[in-house]
Parts: sequence; structure tokens; C-alpha cells
Amino acid sequence: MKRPGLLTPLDGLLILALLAAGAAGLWLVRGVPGNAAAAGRWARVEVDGRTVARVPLDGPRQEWVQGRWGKVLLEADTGRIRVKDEQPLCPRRICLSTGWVSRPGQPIVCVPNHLVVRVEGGSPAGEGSYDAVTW
Amino acid sequence: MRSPGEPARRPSLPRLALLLALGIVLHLVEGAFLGPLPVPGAKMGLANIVTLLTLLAYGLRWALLVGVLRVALASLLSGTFLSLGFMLAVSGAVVSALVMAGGRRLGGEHLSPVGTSVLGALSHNLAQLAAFALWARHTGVFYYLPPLLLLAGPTGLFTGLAAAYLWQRWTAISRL
Repeated sequence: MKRPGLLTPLDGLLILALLAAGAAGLWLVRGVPGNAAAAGRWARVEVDGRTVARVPLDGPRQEWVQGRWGKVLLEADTGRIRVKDEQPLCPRRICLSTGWVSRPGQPIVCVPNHLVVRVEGGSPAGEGSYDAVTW
Repeated sequence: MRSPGEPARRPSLPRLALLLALGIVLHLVEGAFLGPLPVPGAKMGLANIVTLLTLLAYGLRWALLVGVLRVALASLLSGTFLSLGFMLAVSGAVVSALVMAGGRRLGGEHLSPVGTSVLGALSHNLAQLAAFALWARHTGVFYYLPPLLLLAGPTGLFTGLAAAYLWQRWTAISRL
């Protein structure tokens, strides 16, 4: 029985090509949203269903938004946002007590202000917080 | 060694059963332990050793049969029959067997069992991602391709070496 070499030049070429393709692919998709996770997100701010602001969640920033009831102070950080203050304070302060939201789709709602803040972008499941995983 | 173009012998029933049992065990072992690979969902492809061995010994038809039966029986044993994972495993097994057979036909002597195995690992990944993209109705899953491609080389090399060593001893085993 003829015993062929374990690895032929074509085999080596194939493996090297795969590694090169993988590395090149990784480099290509490095800027894709959803890979960049938290920093690629933003928050959409709606009053009466109209989008009045889009706040990038790429670092600390604050922004006042005019609602029906009064003004609302939004505080953003990397990948998360909250309502920090209201002027004047609304009766139940649900938006204030909601605290930080970070998962895409997660809302902060202030009914007196007709205001909805929603996290958008990134992967739908959010990093490290899957609803379910199966193999 | 039989040349790739030569018509395949027909395996005896015990030998077919032996290959199938090996494949099922490897499939289940791999399913039970997620393995040392850092990428979720990435596997060594241990069961592909058996598909490749069957392909080398008996040709494409039997490799397909062993591959599909292996997935069906192993999934019955692990309780994942007809689940998404089962669908992915079937598509991967079928496509990689076809591609490996094609590679042996086209590559001939230039493509060793190890290279064939790397081809199989690559096509297995592509087929599973394509199947998952169809299921999820979203092409975004292909962003997962680069890390999988990076791993396909080493895993294909490993399973290929295992299959190559088995193949060298296959004639001895076959005398049993």
C-alpha cells in the first residue's frame, strides 16, 4: 500500500487561504454595528410620537428635552441612558425611578410629558443578556 | 490505496454499522461537551472524521448515508430530532460530504485526506450559516463567518489528521 504524505502543498495552501480569509473577514466586519455593541447605540426621544432627538450613547452627555408637562434632563453614558431630572417634577416620577436603561428596545416613559425614550441599535438581544440560548 | 475515481466498494453491513456507531458516539460526545473552542457554536467536527473515512473507503453515496443516518440517530438519542440544531447538522453533513467528494474528484492526488477534511470543515460552516440565515430570514448571521473560518483551518486539520491515521489502518481494521 502506497503511503502518501500527510500534507500535500495543496492542503497547506487551503489552510493558509482559510486563515487569511478569516483574518481579512474579521478586519472587514470590525466596524459593523452590533459588533461594536454598546458604543454603537443611540436613544430615540419621542414626544407625542414625533422623534424630537436622537442621543448617541457613546459617552457621557446630558440634554434637556421639552415635553408637554415640562423639561426633562436626559443623561447618557456609554450604552445607557436615564432621566436624571425634570422641571417641574411630574406627579409619579416614573421616568425618574425607571433609572438606567441599556437594552435595545427598552423604554423610559413619562406619561405627563407624552415622552418616550427608547434605546436603539446594537444587537437585539443586547450584550450578555440573552433571552435564551440553545444548541 | 484506491484512487479517488475508482468505483467504490460496497461496505458490508457490520462495517457500515461500525462506522455509523462511531459517528453517533463522536456526535454525542461533541454535543455533550461544548469543547475548548472560544467561539460559541463552534465545534471540532469530530463526527466528520467518520464521514470522511466512509468517503475514502466507500465513496460519496455511503458517506452521505452514514452522515445523514448518524445525525438522525444521534439526534433521536439526544432528544433534538427535527429541532433547529438537527436541521443545521443535516445541512452541514450533506453539504460537507458533497464538497469533500467533489474535492477528491477535482484534487485527486494533490488533495490529501487532511486537505479534504479542511474543505469539509469550511463547507460545513458555510452550509450551516446559510441554513441558519434561511431559518432566521436574516443575512446578518454571515458576520459570524470570519471567526468560524479562522477555526475551520485548525479543526479541519485536526479531524483530517485523525481520519488520515484511521484511513492508513483501515485495511487492517477491514480484515476483522
